[in-house]
Amino acid sequence: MVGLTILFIFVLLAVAAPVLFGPPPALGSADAPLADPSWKYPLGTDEVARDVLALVAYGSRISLVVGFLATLISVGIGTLVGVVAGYNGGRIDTLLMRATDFFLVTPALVLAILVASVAGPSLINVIVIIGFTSWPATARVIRAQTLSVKERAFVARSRAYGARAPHLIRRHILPNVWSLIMASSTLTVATAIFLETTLAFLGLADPTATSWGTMMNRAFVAGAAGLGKWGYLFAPGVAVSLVIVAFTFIGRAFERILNPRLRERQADAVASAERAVVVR
Amino acid sequence: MSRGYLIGKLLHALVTISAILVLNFALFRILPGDPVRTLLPRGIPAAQVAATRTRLGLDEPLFPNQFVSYVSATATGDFGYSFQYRIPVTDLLAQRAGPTVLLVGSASLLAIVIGIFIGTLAGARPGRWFDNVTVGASLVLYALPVFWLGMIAIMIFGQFGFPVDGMLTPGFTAPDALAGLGDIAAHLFMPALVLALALVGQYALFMRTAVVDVMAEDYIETARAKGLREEQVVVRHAVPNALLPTVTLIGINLGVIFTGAITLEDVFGWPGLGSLIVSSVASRDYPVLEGAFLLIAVTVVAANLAADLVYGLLDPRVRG
Amino acid sequence: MATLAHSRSRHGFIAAVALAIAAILVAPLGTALADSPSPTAGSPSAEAGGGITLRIGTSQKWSSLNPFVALLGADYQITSLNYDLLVEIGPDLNPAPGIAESWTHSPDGLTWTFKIRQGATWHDGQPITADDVAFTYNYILDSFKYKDGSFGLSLFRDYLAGVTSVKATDAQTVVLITDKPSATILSAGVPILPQHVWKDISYEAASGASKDVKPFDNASMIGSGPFHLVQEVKDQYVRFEANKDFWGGAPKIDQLIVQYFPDPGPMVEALKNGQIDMIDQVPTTEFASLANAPGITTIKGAPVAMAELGMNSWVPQPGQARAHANEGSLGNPWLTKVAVRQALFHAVDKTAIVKTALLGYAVPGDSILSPGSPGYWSPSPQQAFDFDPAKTRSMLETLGFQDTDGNGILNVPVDAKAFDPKGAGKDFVLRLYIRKNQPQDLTAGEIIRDAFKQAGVGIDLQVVEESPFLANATFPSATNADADLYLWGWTGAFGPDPDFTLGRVAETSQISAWQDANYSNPEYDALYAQQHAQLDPTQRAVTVQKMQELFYTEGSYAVLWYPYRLQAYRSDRWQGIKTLPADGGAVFTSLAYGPYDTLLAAELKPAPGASAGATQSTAPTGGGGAGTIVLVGLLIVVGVVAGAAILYRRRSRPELGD
Repeated sequence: MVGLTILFIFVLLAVAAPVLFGPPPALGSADAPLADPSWKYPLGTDEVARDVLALVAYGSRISLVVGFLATLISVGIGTLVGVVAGYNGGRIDTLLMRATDFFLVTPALVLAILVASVAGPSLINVIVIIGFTSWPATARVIRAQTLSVKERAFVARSRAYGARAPHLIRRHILPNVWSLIMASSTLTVATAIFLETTLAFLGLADPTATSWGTMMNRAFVAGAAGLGKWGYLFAPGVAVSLVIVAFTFIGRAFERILNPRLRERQADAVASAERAVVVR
Repeated sequence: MSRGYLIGKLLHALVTISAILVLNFALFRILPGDPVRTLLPRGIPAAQVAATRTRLGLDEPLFPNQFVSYVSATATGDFGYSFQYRIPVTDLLAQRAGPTVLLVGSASLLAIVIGIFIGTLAGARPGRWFDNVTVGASLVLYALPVFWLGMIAIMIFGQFGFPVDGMLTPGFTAPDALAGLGDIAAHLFMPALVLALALVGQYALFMRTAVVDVMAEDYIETARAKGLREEQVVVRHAVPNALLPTVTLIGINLGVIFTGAITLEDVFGWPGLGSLIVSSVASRDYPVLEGAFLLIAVTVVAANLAADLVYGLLDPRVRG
Repeated sequence: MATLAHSRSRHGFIAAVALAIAAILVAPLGTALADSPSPTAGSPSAEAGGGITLRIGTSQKWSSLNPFVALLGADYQITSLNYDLLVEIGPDLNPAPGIAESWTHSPDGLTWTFKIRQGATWHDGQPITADDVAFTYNYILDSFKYKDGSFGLSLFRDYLAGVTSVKATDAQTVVLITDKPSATILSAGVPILPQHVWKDISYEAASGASKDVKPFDNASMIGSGPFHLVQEVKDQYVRFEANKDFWGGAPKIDQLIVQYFPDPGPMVEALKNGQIDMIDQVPTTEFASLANAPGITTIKGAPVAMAELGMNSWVPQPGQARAHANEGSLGNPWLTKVAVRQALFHAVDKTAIVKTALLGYAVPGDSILSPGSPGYWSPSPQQAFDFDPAKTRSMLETLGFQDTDGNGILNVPVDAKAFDPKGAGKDFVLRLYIRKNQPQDLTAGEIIRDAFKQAGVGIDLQVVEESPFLANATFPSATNADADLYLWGWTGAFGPDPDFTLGRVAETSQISAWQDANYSNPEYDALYAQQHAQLDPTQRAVTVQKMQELFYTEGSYAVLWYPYRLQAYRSDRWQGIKTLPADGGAVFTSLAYGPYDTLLAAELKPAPGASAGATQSTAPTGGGGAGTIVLVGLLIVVGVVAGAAILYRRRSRPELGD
């Protein structure tokens, strides 16, 4: 519930930013650079004289958009790989799971840094990169669920009657893994937002687009910490953390609803460790 | 541990490393631009450039010729020359690996020990205030960007004279080993603490869950029935069993820890692999990026393998 | 018994945790020590601990210790501390005695005679003689006669333009002959090098331009300046020891450390908490706050530098043809057209850039010379490219650019296939490189991007490392020069004489050497040669002004601003720090050679009521104090852990009846 509330507030902030704060703050649009918080600028201004609160609101757009779109790609790939592997089994399964393991162990951020440095910093690139590096956990979860659904009696019966694979997947498998996909997505969104922030901080996202990562980078470079500009320094960090906490809460709630028997001991514990790792 | 399990895991690791090699090769060969440019200093006459192209075999087909020479060069530890530093990438990586191992090692150890400790306390008595605080704090710590924590640490601890940049005081030559250690420790303090803080929540949460699970086991009841005190039950029976999945997490987690170290090293000017990667990105120093990625990826694979093997040793079901 | 066993295991657990934590911070240190960079071998005082040390923080990386390769401002700061010039720059910016005690020239201005200082020595103790001076100059001149000249030491070539012979006639006399008069003989910024070190260095190694020969790293840095570089830890710091035998008087400090900070924020923190004593480039955001900080003195030096929006104008000359289809100038071809550049000049809002990106700590720019330079020229209101994006658009439309797809960005004319095969018909988008270490450049880049967008020109902003990325992207060898637009700057740090900037920035022969925009204009080159031979200052100023006007109107720079030199140091601890020029100048400037070094007389302030022993405190203490805090902190952590354990045990006991 807490998670949903936080998320709702940020979505509202992102959607209503133009209504609440006018157009994206232009360079030099506030009265003074690095102003302390005031009624007019509740979080102060940044070093190029922009309202920090408005920047946080507009920054939430990039973070949320990147988070959702990257998740869409990630969950899309993950579901496809998971369902195909789980449904077909055999060699295809082995092959796909090897690929999944490969991406699972490859440090996502390092890979993302490399690809971003090759492809160049842009919003689309960042989304695609995050989408393509964060799918393995979803694939694993979906595969496991597909395997168990496949063995259920009604699916087996359909197969015996000669139902074809696409039909089976659409009619029986997908509806049964759907809720799991949702749960997995919420955690992936958190991962994606985290990665975006990190890439932006490192200057691998578009340095001129206002996102929480670039804000933190700018605050750092402008010496906001030393100048005691707490509003400027804290706002983007707190915003990122809140959103990630929100998605984590939602994800956990989902899991609890879906899988009351989550605590199944070691084998499952390892799987949930992997899921935990995904958040970073 | 059965021989099959061991061989399977080894094979798996080998396949993964091969895939990383292929990816690495492909990624840096389909780059826009000319690799020769990244390899030569400025002001090279055209004839020499052509000679270099030939020498590097860049005019040959990507596959199999270039790939074969790439693999054989990599196998002999030859990643080429750094564009920024004009020294072999291998030397550069060797120089930078030490500080990163130090940072990552001390932060992880700190996080693991404290995380296991707190997780045990919380998990032994789930639902109590300590447990709730642990879970809440862990989730929040978990969500904080580590570089942001680093900035705030600079703000707070910088005032007390803690060094904010680098690993050694420039020009400081320690009169004795202890002073030298003290200098490094002072520089290490902030980044290691911050990284540990970012990791501790994960270990605590994980240990907590594992302990809760174990405490529900029949043999715990048996131990209690034998008249052991609760502390003894926890320390002697619950902790050893709950440690098992946590050990696995350490291996799986290594990639994540490196990830945190990259941004953190950038913030603290820590002379490790992370800051090397960051500056190589801006300089388009591809040979270094290529080498660093391979090094980190192989390390992570090795750590995963180690985790699997430890798991295999400890878990009776796998030991078989 | 049970209780005993229980408590032992309990304490065992706590002790294990405490031990483990202690081991964590201590055990790996040994490994790290083994890996840590060791001081340069053979510097005995390195073991001595250093003595009084002045530490300077900088946000610019140096690129090389080899003066024939080093071309960044930070490199020149190192060179100026470590080396001497034949003739140096005095406090009033006029030529002053350096290695040469005195000099005369013949009435026709063609023969110069220098009297070399007696008794001066190199850092290794060998005497400095006329032979060393003649060797240095000849080493550069002869490099262009070696092979096809491709290993020529081009960074210093122009100082010696027209010099036909340099001879040491005796141990104390150097005679220099030119084929025509030269206005720049006394402002030659050539570091005088020891013959005994450099005579065996091949041109391949010295120029760093060979693939097969390892570039000479000049690690020993034997020079004659007041400081001697004894240790370099790449990208971290350089350490100088004071040259106590310096001919111009020994520095009062013992050590000088220049530390590189990748980010300015921590650098300012380090100044505030005393880890460094001086900052070379204070970020504009922090200057006002530092000016008010107790114990810190700020310096706002008059502009001696300029920042430009450069436009890659390189047209390969005959003989510079591309060696490979993929090589050569890969920049946008339209930038080679004067009319396009002029159109773009109108889209640059210099006032907004100075106000927002530099927070007012700069003067809006126009000429390539900074306002204090002799012969400075500024455009009349009619000549000035006023900020008017609509004008840019209409000027480009005159050239055939049209927004055919209606996305707000002009399209390159479709019929320009021959001229611009890659771009014809597409959006006119230019890449703009900005340096990672210069936050104000990012803001300036954004302002430029927004204004260019209004004008219908797309900008792809890319943040890159200055060295080597930007250096290479602007450098037209066979493989480079693929920049379109970039923000960079020039420090007039190499002397007050305008010859350096006028020549290095825009003269044709500087392509493949100093130039970044790769501008070539025979008319400009002729004027350059003309002023070089004008010994009369008034006549020369007229030529110099013509050159500035020409480059302003037709050149490849929009000069954006002249920055104030913002610096800060701990005046609560240091005194005797000077600026150059004495009036309105800066500290730690690369203008200041030899006895004019700004830090030569720097010394610790006597602490009130403290004995001389207090001076020892500024030797790098290696964070020993903080190290103690670490240990204390460690104990606290152990204590807290132990406390939590006890607390847990207490709380649990009553409920845990057996």
